[in-house]
Amino acid sequence: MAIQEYTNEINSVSVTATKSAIILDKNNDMSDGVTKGFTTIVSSEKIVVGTHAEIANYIIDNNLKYAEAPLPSVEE
Amino acid sequence: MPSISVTNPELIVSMNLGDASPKLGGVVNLKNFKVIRTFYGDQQDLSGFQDYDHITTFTLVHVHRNKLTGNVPDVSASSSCRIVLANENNLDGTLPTTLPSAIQVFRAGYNNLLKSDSHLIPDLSSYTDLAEFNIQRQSADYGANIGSGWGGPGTLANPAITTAAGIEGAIPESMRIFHYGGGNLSPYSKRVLLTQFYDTFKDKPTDWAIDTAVNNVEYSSPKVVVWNSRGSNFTNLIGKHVSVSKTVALNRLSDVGFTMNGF
Repeated sequence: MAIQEYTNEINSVSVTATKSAIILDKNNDMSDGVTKGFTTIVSSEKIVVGTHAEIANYIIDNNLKYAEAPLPSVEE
Repeated sequence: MPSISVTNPELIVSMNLGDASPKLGGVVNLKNFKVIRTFYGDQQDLSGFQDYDHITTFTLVHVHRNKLTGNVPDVSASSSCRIVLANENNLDGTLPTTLPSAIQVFRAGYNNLLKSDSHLIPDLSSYTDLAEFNIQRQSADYGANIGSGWGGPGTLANPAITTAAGIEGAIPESMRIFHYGGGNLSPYSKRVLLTQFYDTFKDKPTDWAIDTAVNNVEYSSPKVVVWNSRGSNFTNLIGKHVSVSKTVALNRLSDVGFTMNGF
């Protein structure tokens, strides 16, 4: 099966153990990923599901990068 | 082995190991440091971070992306420490039982922490500035892939399910990222955790977690992640929220702004 993209207001997506998934934020950066899932993801962000190889290619084809998690500032 | 020593270590308040090439290896020993506040020792080849137990002045500890082994550094004696980054090491021991009381960000993901249901995730209820608790991807190959299976703690230290007083506040309102995907959390602890999150955020408006800054930081992708190979076998929450279905809780938290993954 080809890669699947979920873009509903709230997505509820089951990821089987043979699949991987990435979650894309509003800037189209990856906010998270699941390797060989076995999970259900409920999110208002875009979810892309495919085999591990399909997801790897999707990341390359779309030049995706991981979003940097923010850090609070701490004075020296 | 050559070593680096410093003059008057008892007066030093900040140490930064920089980005030298080749990277620095060996052990950092802070025995003679008394007032150090910030320690930047990330992205080296350090194999140890030692003799810091007496230090009460840390505000930040960066030891991520090294080769540390053993337990996750416990800097809870430094009550004002706000950031602890120990992710991407070779840590194979346990989490601290307590965190610094002012902790804002705690990361210890991409290690190989002890896989045991007796190994506890600390009670987070008192850390009212904590925005990120991230211990994702614990495995023998340090999170590169599933390897021989995911490891890490299996149980919440704060079960807080039998009384309303126990559930309420178990997860502080400051929490924006709880990431333990690729770990070992038990299905029962997932049920408790979801109940705790639901209790804290159930009455918040749409996108509240995204729109409401914590520690002057806005989190564009709040998340609660617990996927692992142990599955999730419950249909309803527990304790005072036992009548709430898992689906209702997940949708409500998603509406508040959280991505819910692994329940």
